[in-house]
Amino acid sequence: MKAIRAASLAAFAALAWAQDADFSLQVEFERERPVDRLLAKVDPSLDVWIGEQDYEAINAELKAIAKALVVDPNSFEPLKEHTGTFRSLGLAEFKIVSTGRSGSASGSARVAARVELGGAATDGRLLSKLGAVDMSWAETSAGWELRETRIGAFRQASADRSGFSEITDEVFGGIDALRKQLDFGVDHWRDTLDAALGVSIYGHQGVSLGDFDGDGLDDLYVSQPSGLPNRLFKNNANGTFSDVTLRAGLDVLDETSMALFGDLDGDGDQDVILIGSAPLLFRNDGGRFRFDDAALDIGQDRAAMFTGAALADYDLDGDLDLYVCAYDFWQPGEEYDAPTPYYDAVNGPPNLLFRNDGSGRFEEVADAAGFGPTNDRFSFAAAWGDYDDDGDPDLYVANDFGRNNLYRNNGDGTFDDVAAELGVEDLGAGMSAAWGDYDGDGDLDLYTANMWSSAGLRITGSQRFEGIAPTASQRALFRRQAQGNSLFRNDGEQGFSDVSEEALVRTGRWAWASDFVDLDSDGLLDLFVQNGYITGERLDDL
Amino acid sequence: MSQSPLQAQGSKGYADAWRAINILIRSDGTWSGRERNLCFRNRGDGTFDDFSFLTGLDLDSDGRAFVPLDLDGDGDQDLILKNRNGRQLRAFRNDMRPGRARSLTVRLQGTSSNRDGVGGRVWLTTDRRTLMREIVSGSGYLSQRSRVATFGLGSEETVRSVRVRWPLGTVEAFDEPPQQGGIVLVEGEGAIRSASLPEPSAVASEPARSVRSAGESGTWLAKPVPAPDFVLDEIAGQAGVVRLSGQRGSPVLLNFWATWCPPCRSELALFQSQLDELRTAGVKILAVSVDDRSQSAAVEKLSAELGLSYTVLLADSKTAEAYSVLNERLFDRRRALAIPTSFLLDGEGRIVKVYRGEVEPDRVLADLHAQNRETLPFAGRWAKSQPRRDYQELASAFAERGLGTAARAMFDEALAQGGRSPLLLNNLAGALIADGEVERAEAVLREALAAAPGLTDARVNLASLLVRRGAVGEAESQLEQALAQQPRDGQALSALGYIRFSQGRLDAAEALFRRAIEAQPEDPRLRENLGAALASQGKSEDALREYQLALQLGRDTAEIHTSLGVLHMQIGNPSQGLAAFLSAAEADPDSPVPQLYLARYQLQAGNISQALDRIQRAKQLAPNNLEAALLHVQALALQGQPEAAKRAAEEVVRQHPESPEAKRLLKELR
Repeated sequence: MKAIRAASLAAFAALAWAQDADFSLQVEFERERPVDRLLAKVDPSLDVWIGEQDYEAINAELKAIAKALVVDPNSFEPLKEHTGTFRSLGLAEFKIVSTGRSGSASGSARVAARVELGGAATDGRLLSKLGAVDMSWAETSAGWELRETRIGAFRQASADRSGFSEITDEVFGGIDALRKQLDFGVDHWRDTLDAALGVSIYGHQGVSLGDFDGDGLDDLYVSQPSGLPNRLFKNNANGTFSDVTLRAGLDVLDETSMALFGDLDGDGDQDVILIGSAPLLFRNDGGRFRFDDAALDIGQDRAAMFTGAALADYDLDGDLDLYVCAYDFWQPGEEYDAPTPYYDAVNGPPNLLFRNDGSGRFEEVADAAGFGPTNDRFSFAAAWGDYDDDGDPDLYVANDFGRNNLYRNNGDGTFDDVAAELGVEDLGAGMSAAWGDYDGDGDLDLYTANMWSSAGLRITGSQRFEGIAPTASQRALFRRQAQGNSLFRNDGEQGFSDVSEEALVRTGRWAWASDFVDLDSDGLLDLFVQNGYITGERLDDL
Repeated sequence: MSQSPLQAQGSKGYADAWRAINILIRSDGTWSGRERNLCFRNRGDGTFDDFSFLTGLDLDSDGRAFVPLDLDGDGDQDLILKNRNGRQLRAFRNDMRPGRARSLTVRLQGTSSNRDGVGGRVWLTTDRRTLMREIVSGSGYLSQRSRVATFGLGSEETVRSVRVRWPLGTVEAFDEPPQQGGIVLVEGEGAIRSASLPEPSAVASEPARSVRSAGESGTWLAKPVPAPDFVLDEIAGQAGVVRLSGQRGSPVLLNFWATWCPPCRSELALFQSQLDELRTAGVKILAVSVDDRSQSAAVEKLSAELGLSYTVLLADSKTAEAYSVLNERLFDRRRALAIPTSFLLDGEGRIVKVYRGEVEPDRVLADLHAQNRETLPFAGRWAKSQPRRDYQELASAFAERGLGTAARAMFDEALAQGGRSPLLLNNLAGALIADGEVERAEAVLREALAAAPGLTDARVNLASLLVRRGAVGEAESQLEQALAQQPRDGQALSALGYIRFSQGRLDAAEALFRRAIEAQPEDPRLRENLGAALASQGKSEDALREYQLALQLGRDTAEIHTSLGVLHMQIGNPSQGLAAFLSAAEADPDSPVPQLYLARYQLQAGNISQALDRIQRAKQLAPNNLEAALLHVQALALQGQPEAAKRAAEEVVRQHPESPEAKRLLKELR
């Protein structure tokens, strides 16, 4: 809950010719909405960032150029050498990544932008190009004018057709709940349901595969926000799915961020744990699921919103154990400790490690397992993987606002955080974690998602920012928050090397699920990155 | 981001920034929206190509999670994506290779190891290379992919062997695996099983019951909420005033409308046409017009035209605002109250349903008789949670807008639900103070502090109350304690500064205000306080700067402008002084104070008749104002009317016998 403060005892001074200065002592609620101040910043005319006003104007020019390019690929002379190979452009985008003055003169600006072009090439193939431009702009009475464009490196890729086609209706079309429930985003439900049901804005609800009916095919479970039932879709073995939620007893209304299927009680079928406001175990009894309230006890004072989770047999006793990430979402009006400090927050709720006794009863053992010292972050995602190839699963945890954890399994039920030692702290806004042998050398490499924010890069790179984060290392930490995803190559004894730049996989935007997947079926692991935070009705982005 | 404190310690500005962002996104703002997904193709040389555009997977929805799965059995990985916004679930067919892709899938089934084979490793060796997969259960973000390992293969590639390291460490090798397709390996079995797939068979999908969209049929509240009480005037021709809480015992349809809203008219007419049925059903209609009070004649005219015989009320601004706040908070998506909106109240005065937009009487009648209030859009079961209304939050929302009555009702709900958290108590104290219940507020603050001695906010609030009732000594010690806990607490510094100021310790006050500003540089009231401290020390120019900063930071009050005016006068800028006094009069046209400053200005400038005009206006605004009366005497004297001045002075002394100035003036005039 928001604390209401005494007003500042506003004083009306005892001035020379004001007899009996009238001091009114008032205790009042803060009337000013904090948003007002932020809005004042969003308004470019009041922007505090040096260069941000110019940014708005130049960005508008670039948007106009991009728009014209979609109409006519040759409409922008300086880029012609690259746009000339397109018959038509479906995608033309400039993202400004840094701004500055040209020399000391005001009225001039230098802008570095990332350029992305995509469309039909003159030879009929699909073509995409990615590159960088460095532009000089001058302010004239008519507005900002482009004076010079230096073209940086460009890369291109082409294909004879689009790699994927949407088949949502073919696959799920027979499902009533698709049309009535899942075709709407959370904003629709936030607008039509009583807030007491608890649908929240963030949309942190995932998707899981598990063979609930034991027919050898993966079925699909879709997690939903509080108040809307999760959905279980049975795989019909013919490319379609059917909604069997009620029959299976998995029409759970509790907030669910993700589901984890697995045989948790050793009876041969797939049980499921739902993660959300608490981890909830549902036992599979012949295709019907039964909630077992006694299976997972988070204990007192462990309230949090639970986000990512993962199963593995960390103690090698033949059953699946559970690790659950805890996050603290700020709720309006709630007493909330905002992540502090922003670039390395250590005031998060503790994550949980549950040891399975083999029957699907769990005991929370995070402290006993040695997680304690660094178990204080805002965690989004966890992935088990035996990075050191010693036969037991180790654990990587992606944390928002700071350092990630790599917990090495000591083989005796305890873990040590070796993230710093092995170079995988990956300071940033961690949102996703995945293991995979991308380079085919037999060990597990690591891909983590963060934010890549052109605005963040721009602001943290600006001169004004020096006043806010006075030391270079602090600025680097802030900047790191906006820098993008990381690919860590496993170099065995030498730890991990951050190869994101050389592998050309740094850019991630505001990334969520990011994982290895062999998209082109050549045996090599490619990467897929899901992006975007909150697209509201008003598109004027924060 | 910009305001994150560099030390690991809370900062109000930083928390406010977070709060602001959350308010913005809840009211349809965008935050890193429309960001396209990315695909990177592994080139096999340690680098990747960005081929997002070429895959067609570069959607700009708010992506969250995904799972790869071979949906059409053609050997490649199709994708199922889960998004925040609609469509939440999307499937994409992989067309990267023409026709079938060649691949081998391996499912592990543990016997002594965990049955899912999680943690197991599978190596597939071909004539060209060895590929490794480890079976994971949960990775990426909120995604659980298949525990089946998939190996894509080149068309010329020959598979030589499959090797497994089971989770518990046993290694098994299989030398004659199939060249493609799917296999199942059972721990310890030593043989390859073909993954036998079931015959395609589509079972019927369950229907999903759904309520009609809220625009049509309204939203049943999962948790009915007490309707904020009000006492409103009926329009002329009706009985007088109506208290909402006086209507308990029968259901109420509380309708908000305005004369400028055409759908409202037809809705009001519909209510009238089915009034008998509604009355028979026992529901009372209260139609509250949110028109400006100056429009009451228009409201009455429309009511007469439509022949409305049910209760029509004129909203005051507090009532309109209270229901607007409520409407914002009943839904997570914050939207201001749109007209028309109706609330259906049960006999206990609790809102059970909200109709946004027009509602037909038949709908209301059906809802009154509804056996089953469909508060959920779809059937489902709660495992451990329940719908829950956060009354503390709701109360704070009202309190922040100065809606004390509604806030109190919500605090009572929170207390009834067993909440007695220190923060709740602190905020309750705020509402009590707003209602003038300072003694109870003090008790509540002390209770909060007994439970949470570190709650600086409550301590500062208590100190403010103590100052107000003259207990300055205890106020000081409370503030010193607060500052020991939070040395940079701007409010505590400011409050202590105020005490020093009132003790005449101006330099100490100045120093405290400066420290407060360091903590909260954007709080204009602190600038104003510092300005006052500087002005009182005669540092007029410094004071002027602070007041100007306060103004720039948004504190556009009459007090600021008058203070600025006075300072301008002191440093010899009469034209700017005049401008400031005029701004003050504009900022608060109902206050006599700016008028009196303008009168003084005109007196000094020798414009006696203009001064008299201002004095006249001040007297109209505040008939018993001593200052106005004294200025009036002076003006008359300056105008050369000693007799009139004397008479006026005698009158002042009669009305304000306690005033030494009045007596002095009279003496001078005699």
